[in-house]
Amino acid sequence: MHFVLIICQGWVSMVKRLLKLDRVCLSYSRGRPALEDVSFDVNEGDIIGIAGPNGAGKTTLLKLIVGLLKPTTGSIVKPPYSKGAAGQQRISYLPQNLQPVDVNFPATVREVVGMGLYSRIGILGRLTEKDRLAIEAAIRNVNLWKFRDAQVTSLSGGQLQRTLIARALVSEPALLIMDEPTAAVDLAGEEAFYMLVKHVNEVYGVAVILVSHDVYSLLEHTDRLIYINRKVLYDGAPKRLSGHRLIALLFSHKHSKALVRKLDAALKRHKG
Amino acid sequence: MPIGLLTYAFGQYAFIAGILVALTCSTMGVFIVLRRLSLISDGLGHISLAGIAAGILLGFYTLWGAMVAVFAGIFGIDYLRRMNIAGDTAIAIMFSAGLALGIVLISMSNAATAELESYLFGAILGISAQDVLLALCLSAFVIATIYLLFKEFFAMTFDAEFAKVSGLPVERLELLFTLLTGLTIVVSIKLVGVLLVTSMIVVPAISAMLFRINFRRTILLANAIAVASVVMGLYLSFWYNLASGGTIVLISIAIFLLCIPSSKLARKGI
Repeated sequence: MHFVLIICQGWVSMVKRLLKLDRVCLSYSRGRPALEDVSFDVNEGDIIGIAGPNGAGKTTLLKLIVGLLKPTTGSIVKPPYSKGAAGQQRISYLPQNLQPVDVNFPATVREVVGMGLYSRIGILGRLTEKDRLAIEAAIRNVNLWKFRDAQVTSLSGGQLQRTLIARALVSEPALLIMDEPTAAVDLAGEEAFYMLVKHVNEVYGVAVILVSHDVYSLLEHTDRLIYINRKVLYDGAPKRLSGHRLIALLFSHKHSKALVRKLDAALKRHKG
Repeated sequence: MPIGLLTYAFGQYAFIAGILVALTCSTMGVFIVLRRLSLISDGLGHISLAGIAAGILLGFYTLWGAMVAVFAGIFGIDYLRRMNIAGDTAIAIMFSAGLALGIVLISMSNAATAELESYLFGAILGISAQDVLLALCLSAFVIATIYLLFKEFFAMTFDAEFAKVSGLPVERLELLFTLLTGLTIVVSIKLVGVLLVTSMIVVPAISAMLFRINFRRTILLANAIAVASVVMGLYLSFWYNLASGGTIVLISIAIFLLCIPSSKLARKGI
């Protein structure tokens, strides 16, 4: 028994943990807490989908992970960076609103992707020739080389999204977090996006957290689903989700019946 | 007769101050327009009148008064915002307070109308050696800060949330940026006047943005447009005895109108 336990512990320790949330709660000054008792780990190579209804605290959770908000109680542990240069950004974040503040914003794809290196080179630092090569490689990786000197405001939703993914990847993060990444892209763009996520995950070993209200896409494209509605209601492999009861329990809100029907169809496709 | 203006001391002062103002306003202008802060710069321009009026009444250097008033305005707007008063309302309150205080203080002094007019509309005759020195110091400070923190201001302007996640001290940078906006306004008052400061900030920036080139080149083009507007405006105001501020701004608007069709042609590659 002890022997099995030691082997299991050894195996677990081989998988590098990138993030640990331990009983995280967040309350604003008034009303119900936005998040209650949220605990989960993120390991190297994971592709995790976080789903939940509107107002469930998905974006709040991401902001806590990236440090834009501080938990009221509980802890978020991010081990020191162990891949590449010291001080390199471990977590890259793609916010929900992709559109730049101004429709005339005069920034090219190259300039925007370069922003991803700013945290590494520090205040008053300048981009070096090596950085420029890294920027060009990131642009090539997301298939935007043709648009490298185009203004970002002239790009389609999908192209802008790929630009921002390149910006997130140029700093060689261990974990890439994306909030509603497919909200501004069409169906073809969505397929291309998930292919890119898989590529980034498999080739560069980047763990990915995708947050979406579109649970069907997450079921199809992620290895692990975390469903939250202020609390974690489900955390596990999508294929383990089965049966009307479990699903109805997980998605118990006003649209549950219609949702259950849609989910059943999606699960069948996923298993097939 | 382009040399005519420069043979006079006041012409030389106006010329040097004008180019400094053009470079400062247009550099800051690209960031101000993109950060949707044009209204703040207009408000701060009006608030500065209170300090100028205090200077006229009490006999100290008016631009020190303008600087104090502008900084008080910045902190006043920030304080009102923290009290959950909407940004545009906070600006409107401070704007009215500054202007009203300026009007009352001026009515208390025996200042000639011409002096007041020169601050409202700008006058090249009113530019002294002291003004040029102040413009030189403030412009150098503003442009050097933008140069050193260029990538930080660029990231913050494009996506403040990303900048914050990247570890940039966004709140401190925002405060620094607002202070730079205040200094830009103080630098510009003598040349273009309180009422037209915003035009010097906004018009060259938006003209350059029409060309859809990269960020650095947009700033350089805005600099070129602003310098051209100031030089042409100064000569016209000198030859025809016009208010310098109005003339410079009208020239910059004419350049903006020319930029609309030419930017379309440039984008089509003609």
